[in-house]
Amino acid sequence: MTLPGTDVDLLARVVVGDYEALNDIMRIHEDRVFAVCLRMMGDREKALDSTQETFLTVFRKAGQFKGEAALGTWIYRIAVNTCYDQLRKEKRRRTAPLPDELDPQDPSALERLESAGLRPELQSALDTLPAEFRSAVILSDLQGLSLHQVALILGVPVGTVKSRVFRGRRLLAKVLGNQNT
Amino acid sequence: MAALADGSLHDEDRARSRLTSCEVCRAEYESHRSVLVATRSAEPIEMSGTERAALHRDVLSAMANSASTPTRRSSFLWPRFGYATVALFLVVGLVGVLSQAGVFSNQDRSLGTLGGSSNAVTAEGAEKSPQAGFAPPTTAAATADMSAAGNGSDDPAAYEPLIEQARKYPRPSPSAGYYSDASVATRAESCIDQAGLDSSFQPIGNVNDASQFILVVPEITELTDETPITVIDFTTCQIVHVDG
Repeated sequence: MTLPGTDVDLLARVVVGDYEALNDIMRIHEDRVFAVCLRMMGDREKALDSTQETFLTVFRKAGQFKGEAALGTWIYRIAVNTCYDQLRKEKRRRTAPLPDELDPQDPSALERLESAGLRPELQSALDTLPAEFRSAVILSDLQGLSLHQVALILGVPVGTVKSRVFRGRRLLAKVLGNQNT
Repeated sequence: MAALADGSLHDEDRARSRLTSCEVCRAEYESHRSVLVATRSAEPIEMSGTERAALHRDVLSAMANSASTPTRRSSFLWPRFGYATVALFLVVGLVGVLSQAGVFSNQDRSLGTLGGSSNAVTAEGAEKSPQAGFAPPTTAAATADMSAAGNGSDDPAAYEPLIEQARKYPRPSPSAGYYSDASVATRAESCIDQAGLDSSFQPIGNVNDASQFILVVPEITELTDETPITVIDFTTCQIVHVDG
């Protein structure tokens, strides 16, 4: 995490078109943003696209950052919203319904997840969750953020985050349980 | 149980003592623990050198290609003012045309009717106002929607058996795996939103095992016998009962 003063300074430099400042911001936050995008999208290429779109949005909206939240929180929020958008676009593009769960018998599906560096059983379970539950579980349980931070990122009350994490874990437990049996 | 499992609960002793006596709670706790073990053992994700280089190259080239510098809030307010001005002219023009056509010639009477109908709605609402704690659909449209869907009723008495069941519901025992189907869970969440409740409200069960009616509470981790329950008609997403 960066200091708030540094955050504001960096963003101020981005606003006036200082590319090196954006490069610095990317270096600090790119791994965390990529991790969230990869968990949300389940595919490295799509995650890279979403990460790229996230930082372009940071560049475009740099002038709107007021420094009330930490820069990391603001960037996480843009990343999650970018992933929601990408998932919605994908859903619209689909011509045939996809299975809710990955077929464990389908070797290509498993290979895809393994090559993405994800544990297939965990990622395929995450993929079954509605996007709102998935983002809450990813930020809270996989990224290790506090409920308060997750609430700020998702723009919902802490109670809603608790509820989404609770329901998300419950669904995950069920899917993971089914996979292990 | 979720808070106990992830260590964010303040009063752990009370929750742990509950674990020994409540089988459902224990199952709930175990399922949360199993998920946390799986997520915490997940390896950290990092970008490869190639991905990192590609990201920096693509973002910086996209920035260089975009002719404009980052948008400041003020820079895109002008088009909005432009749209607002056009809309204002259209409204003024429309009002002028209608005035010429004599639509507003009896303005006083029109306003009187409007006030009258508003009062009539209020009076109707008050007339239908049932016993304390019961909230039937508040507008004629909502009632019509419920009737059109073939469910619900604008007669408060019709809900009495339902509310009776709701009061008997064993509140501190949310059933394990409730709405395990993700699509149903999402639909329930959306229904709760449509009903105008804060999204921290969540379903804890069905009234009398009827899937049409869902019981919701504000906070599942703090359920007590005193927790007020709200009943939502799952088919119309209307609140049919608010406790207390």
